[in-house]
Amino acid sequence: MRKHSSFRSRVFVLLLVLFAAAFLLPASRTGSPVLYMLAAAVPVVMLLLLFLPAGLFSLDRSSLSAALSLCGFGMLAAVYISPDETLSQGMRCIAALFFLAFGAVLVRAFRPSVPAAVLPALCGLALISFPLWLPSVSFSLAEGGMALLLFAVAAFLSLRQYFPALSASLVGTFLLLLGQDYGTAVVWGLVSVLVFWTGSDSLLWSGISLVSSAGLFAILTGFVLPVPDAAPGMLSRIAAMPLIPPETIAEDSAGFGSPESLYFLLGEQYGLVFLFCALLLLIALLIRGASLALHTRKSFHASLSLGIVLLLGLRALLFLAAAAGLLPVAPGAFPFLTSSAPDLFAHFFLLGLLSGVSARNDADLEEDARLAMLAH
Amino acid sequence: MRYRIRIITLVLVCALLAVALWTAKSAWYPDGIRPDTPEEAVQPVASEVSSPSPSGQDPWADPVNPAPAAETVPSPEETPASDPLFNTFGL
Repeated sequence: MRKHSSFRSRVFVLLLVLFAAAFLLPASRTGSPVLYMLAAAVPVVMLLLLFLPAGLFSLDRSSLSAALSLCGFGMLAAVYISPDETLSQGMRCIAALFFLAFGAVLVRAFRPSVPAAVLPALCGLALISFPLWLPSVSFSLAEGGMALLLFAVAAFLSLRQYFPALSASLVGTFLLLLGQDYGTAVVWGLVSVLVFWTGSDSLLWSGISLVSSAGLFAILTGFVLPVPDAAPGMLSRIAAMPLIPPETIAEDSAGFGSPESLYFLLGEQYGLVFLFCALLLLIALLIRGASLALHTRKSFHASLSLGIVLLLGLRALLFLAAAAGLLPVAPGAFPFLTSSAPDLFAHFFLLGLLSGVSARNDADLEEDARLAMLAH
Repeated sequence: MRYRIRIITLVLVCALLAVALWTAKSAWYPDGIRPDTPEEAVQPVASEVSSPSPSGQDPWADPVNPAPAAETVPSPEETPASDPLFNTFGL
């Protein structure tokens, strides 16, 4: 355990040095005092956030360091837009930490029961259906809605309440399809089916969830809803990206404002290798989440952890597939590397839930050690 | 349950890596031939290029010592030909 933690510490120190250097590069070219300040402030703030809130709320440092690094990448991408946008992205990341702490506290305090699970289910469905009530609003709260719905579904499954779990999943899928957010509907459909398959001991109910989700998709997209137009994909933008950071600053051809723009900006200014490192960070986070799911004692925590891994992983997979033109949907937001505040808050909320599960695992281990000591 | 979690995680990670590598390969080798320079790939349309600063001013300019504005376009002999840094930041 000590070897692993010292390895992780070294990796994180390396990342801090990388961020300082990455902010110093444009700072030395432009001479901007704001960039010099960011080169010093970003590593220091990341270090403080890793130790102070993590110690206060017993957060999982491995997953938190991966998420903070991805947020740092987002700020790096925004550097080439304007200083205001860089600072705004930093503020969004710090504000998202509130949701991280909320998620951690929620998991530790929650005791699965049917009435307690109904409230997050209703809140999740309300957030998912937000665009239907207010179609003029440009942002979406679907990510936060799915997080709360996942929480409720995991609670229902742990109580073997399969019908409420299936109902909540199907209504969520239905509302997403009704709002014509096909990509997010696909992600949620897959998450709910796989969490059902893992969390329920019944093959029958797993089969029912699969058939009902697939049927809902087929009926709504085949007969009721309009078929989405084929998206052009973004292979041309990816083809224009260099392999390593170019000697000179690339002109901003990605534009800014859409949730996926930070990802492409990062690739254009720092190269494909850098982008691949961001993906590896996310994969490390997913593996950490799966590891927590494997070591937990309660099925609620296991289903919740797996669902979080699937939500983040499938969201990233959808992003990459849509960017490559494999799927006719908009890429949406890459986990933690997005300028959309609601999506960023939702991702940190999911991370907080994961940290809460990690804290429960550690508490269970300490309890075991105490009992073993008492037995001797 | 643990077996299923391992399977799902493995499939997810492999899918992510596969799509990422396939995208990079498709973008760089669309016909099996690598372009000599990135410029030989599909160029972004000029109208789609958005100025980093809508007002036309350099967002990173030092307010204390602003760089003098160039009155004429510098000749290729005076500035490095392949360095858009000067054009972008008005140096």
